[in-house]
Amino acid sequence: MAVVFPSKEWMDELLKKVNSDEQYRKVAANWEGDFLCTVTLDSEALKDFQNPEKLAGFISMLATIPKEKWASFKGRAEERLLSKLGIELDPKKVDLAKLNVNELAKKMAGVKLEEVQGASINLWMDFWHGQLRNLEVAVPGEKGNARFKLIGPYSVYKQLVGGKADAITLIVGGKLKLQGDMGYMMRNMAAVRRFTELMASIPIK
Amino acid sequence: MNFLDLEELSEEEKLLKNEVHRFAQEVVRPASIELDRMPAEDRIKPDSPFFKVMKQMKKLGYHKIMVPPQKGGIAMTPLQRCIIFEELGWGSLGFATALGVDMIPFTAAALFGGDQVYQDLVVPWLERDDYHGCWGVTEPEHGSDYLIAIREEKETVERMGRGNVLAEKDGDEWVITGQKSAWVSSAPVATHCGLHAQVKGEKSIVNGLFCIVPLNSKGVRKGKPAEMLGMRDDPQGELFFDCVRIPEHYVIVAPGFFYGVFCDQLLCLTSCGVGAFSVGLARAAFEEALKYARERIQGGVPLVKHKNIKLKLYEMFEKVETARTYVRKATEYTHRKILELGTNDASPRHARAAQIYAKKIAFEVANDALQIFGAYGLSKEFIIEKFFRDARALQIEDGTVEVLSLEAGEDVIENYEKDYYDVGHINRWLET
Repeated sequence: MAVVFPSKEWMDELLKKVNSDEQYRKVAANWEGDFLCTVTLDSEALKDFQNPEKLAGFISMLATIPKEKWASFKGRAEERLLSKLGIELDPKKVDLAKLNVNELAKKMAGVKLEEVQGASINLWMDFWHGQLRNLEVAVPGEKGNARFKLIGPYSVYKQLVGGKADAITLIVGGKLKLQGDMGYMMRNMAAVRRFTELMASIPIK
Repeated sequence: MNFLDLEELSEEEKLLKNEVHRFAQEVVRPASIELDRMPAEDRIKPDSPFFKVMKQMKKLGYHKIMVPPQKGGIAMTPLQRCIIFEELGWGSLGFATALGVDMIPFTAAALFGGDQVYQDLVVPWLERDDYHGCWGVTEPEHGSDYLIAIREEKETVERMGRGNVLAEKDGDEWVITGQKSAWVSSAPVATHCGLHAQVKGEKSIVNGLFCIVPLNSKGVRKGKPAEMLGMRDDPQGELFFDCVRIPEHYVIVAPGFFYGVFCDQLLCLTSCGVGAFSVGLARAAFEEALKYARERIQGGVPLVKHKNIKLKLYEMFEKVETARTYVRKATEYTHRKILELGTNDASPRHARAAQIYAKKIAFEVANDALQIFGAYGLSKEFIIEKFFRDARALQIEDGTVEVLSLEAGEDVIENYEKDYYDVGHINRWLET
């Protein structure tokens, strides 16, 4: 079943895919290390989010963040973006599950990139001996000591998850920036490759 | 000349070998002899045999054999690729090299480039016969420096000085300025160059990128084709870049850690290819010598009846066989890591050994073959003098044997005990 990227559904699907893949379990048997993937919102994201289904996906991811962590967005570009949509990140005032995404999607058309420059979604993936133990949305400042960090714009991540380009191509070409223990990464390229293949195999709407 | 292949080739492999050998014998070799005797300027004219043979090679699809099938290439095993390379090397070192350098920019783009560059450049190269690549590495002040810099001490590399070709980002384009030296194989006949350039403002050639420059771009100029001792069947010449602008997606490998990995791994691929070409050249020289020694009467008996000739021929045979076996083994490992698994963690020291060993024995075998021919070996009447000149050129082409050995030696000393590809040498560069 095709899912929206980014969305909670996509996260669930990825978790399921990785943890049920025998080949990944084998090639990543010795892998120990978490990834923090930072997806910076670009003009393509702002355009995509004018589609209610895609915006709903984005909001469904935000909704997975425990309310007590919402304060981490205070004063940041993400808060500005939500504010442009009329969403106040106050647990007492908003229920992300009950928003009218059709209305919000219309408002997205009025959001300019320079107003929300720097807004991003952080996905934290905890890989451990052939398993993806945890996959969650990290708030700003959280999981900063992840073993690897993968940073890039939404449009590039979209190519990656949509199977249009593989991670190695995007990293080698400088479209995605990878930081961390590169020696360890190179010794475990088979695991990295298999994971990105699995990620790209999820049909995207 | 038929021979026993210890690999015990399958019917399919035998068929492939026979087909490529026939092409090498009937088309490649005669054209290579013709080119070898032509002045450099004539070799690059549109009606030159060079273009006729390259077009035929493309028709047969030989240029596609390193590209994965899902990217429009031809499905091949490492052994099958080795067979093709050896047979072409047997026919002509120059044409084999021309095919090898043709592959570099486009295969690199197919493996590591994005969809846009694939559509712009790789698709036409796969489908047409008038795209021809070259590999712009060597520079007037940096002969083989690019090949060794990444494993060298920082002070040594800094002494090498600034690269002769610089790339500078300007908006969504890169601007290329500088010069590659006269030894760029196929440069005079190429339409595109897979170019290594130092990033402007960076400390050394290690801080570089790999891009594709269409050679019809504004600001590109080609030098006169060089008159060389050997490998004259693949024209060589300079490339000049005067503020040449390329779009960002023509940069296949961006500056940074992966540029180091790319250089290391690309040299693994080229080393295996040159290794197989060298085996082909060595075999060609050996077979000519064997044939001649069986027929030529000296001292009242055929040369093969003389003990010194028997010993020589055995030694030549031994060298060809050991080189072929090792080159195939190193190729199997290297191609699996880079082309099949895509993990890009082939072993530099093992791949370099394939190139270095095969190059060395190619020269030794060609030298011994010429000696067996006596004065006839020095005359243009027999092809052996061409093999000798080509084998001599091999000791310098694609990295001198000395530089390649030094580079591989560094890897042996630092990483011999490790059963994985260690990137400590690249990390050291990023830290400095």
